[in-house]
Amino acid sequence: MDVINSPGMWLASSAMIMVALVQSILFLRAALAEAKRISIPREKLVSGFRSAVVTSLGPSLAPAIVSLALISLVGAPTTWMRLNDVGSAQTELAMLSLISKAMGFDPHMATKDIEVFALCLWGMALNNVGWMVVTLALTSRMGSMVKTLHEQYNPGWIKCLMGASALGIFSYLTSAQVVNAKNENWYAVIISAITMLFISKKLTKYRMIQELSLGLSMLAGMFGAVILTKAL
Amino acid sequence: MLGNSTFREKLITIGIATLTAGVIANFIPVAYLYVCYGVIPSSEQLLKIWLIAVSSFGIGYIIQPISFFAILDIAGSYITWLVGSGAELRVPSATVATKAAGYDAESDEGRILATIGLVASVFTSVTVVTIFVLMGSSLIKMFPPFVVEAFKVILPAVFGAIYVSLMGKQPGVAFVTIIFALILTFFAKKIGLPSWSLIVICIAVSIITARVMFLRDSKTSHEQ
Repeated sequence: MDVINSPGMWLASSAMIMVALVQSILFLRAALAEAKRISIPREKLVSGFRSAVVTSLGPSLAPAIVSLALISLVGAPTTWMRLNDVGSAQTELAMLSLISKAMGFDPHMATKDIEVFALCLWGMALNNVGWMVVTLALTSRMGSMVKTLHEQYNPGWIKCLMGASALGIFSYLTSAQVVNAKNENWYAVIISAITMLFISKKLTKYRMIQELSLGLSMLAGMFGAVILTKAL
Repeated sequence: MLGNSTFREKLITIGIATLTAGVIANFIPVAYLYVCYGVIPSSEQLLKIWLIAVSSFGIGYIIQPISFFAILDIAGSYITWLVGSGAELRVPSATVATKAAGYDAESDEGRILATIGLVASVFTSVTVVTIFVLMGSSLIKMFPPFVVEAFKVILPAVFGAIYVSLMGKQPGVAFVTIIFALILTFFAKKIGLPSWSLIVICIAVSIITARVMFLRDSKTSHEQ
């Protein structure tokens, strides 16, 4: 199916990247005008900008390896768009997997069937719009809401709640990949989980490896599973 | 929050206009499929997809923008909830920019530098992701059969790693939840549970387990 990597799809996907860049340029112009008004020296602005570029290089590389997973499922233009918008690579993969389970198709079918591809695109769009709409509705009066949230709820519990919610989602997604599935899937889950555990516990000193931990664990799981299946 | 209300108003105006454009841009690919190929899911399918999204990520839609606001402020919120990667990319960039210029994060100068840092992070991440996607899409066509085979297990490999990375400070909750999810998924068909309900049940069990453990830990630390 040619549509997923067609020029039209690249064009349609580029709209989001254009919006992100225009937004950044407008905020930059506003910040520079305000900096001039309150007399912040130019060298301080350059120093801040430069430091932020260097700091963001590493974390920007993190989704790079995982992008291969998304490209293989929904093509390059959609991956390009979705890795540059609000949903992380993990969220997009989770959403694809959830829709495929609920609708009863294989996520790899999106590259072959335009109807399945449309379902995947709608899933990602309907999910991402949630954060955008809430931000649009609440940000201008967020100050008082933050105060209320902190007054009424324990911040420690809010953190636990978010963590537990994510664990709930991925516990189901992981189980759905292994229960009643081939041994290969079990191997992939176990090897990638062990690799992630090893990186996060034993290689804490290496920042670059930490940033690439998801991609490296994914590769270890994928190739480890194929090797183990062939060996056993 | 920024002391200058004119500047604050300006940021809100830019944020609302660009995020609204982002909402529209978000639906352009699906509109393209409909206009050029006549493909659109049925209204029942769309409702089902939306319910899956809300039941899985709905808590995050509300809690995340509120809980990050104290760090991100106005410009940071509009940027982060359009382009993502708040915790791992936007916040560190804003913090570093403020520090590098030698300002206090709470001052007006600090807030301006944070905005500049956020913008710098967007330019960087968009550039890096664009390069990698272009490289990745050419690479994928050249993969040998062994690699193509490995791609069939890409989802279990990603989810296994993500689950461990999420365990973090709640290993007990993670353990209980994954065991429950495995049992539930195994018996779901036998007891006739629809697949869309499994995710909701898993989230509920995880949250209840976390609440029980949180209260237990709070009680223990209170007693000490």
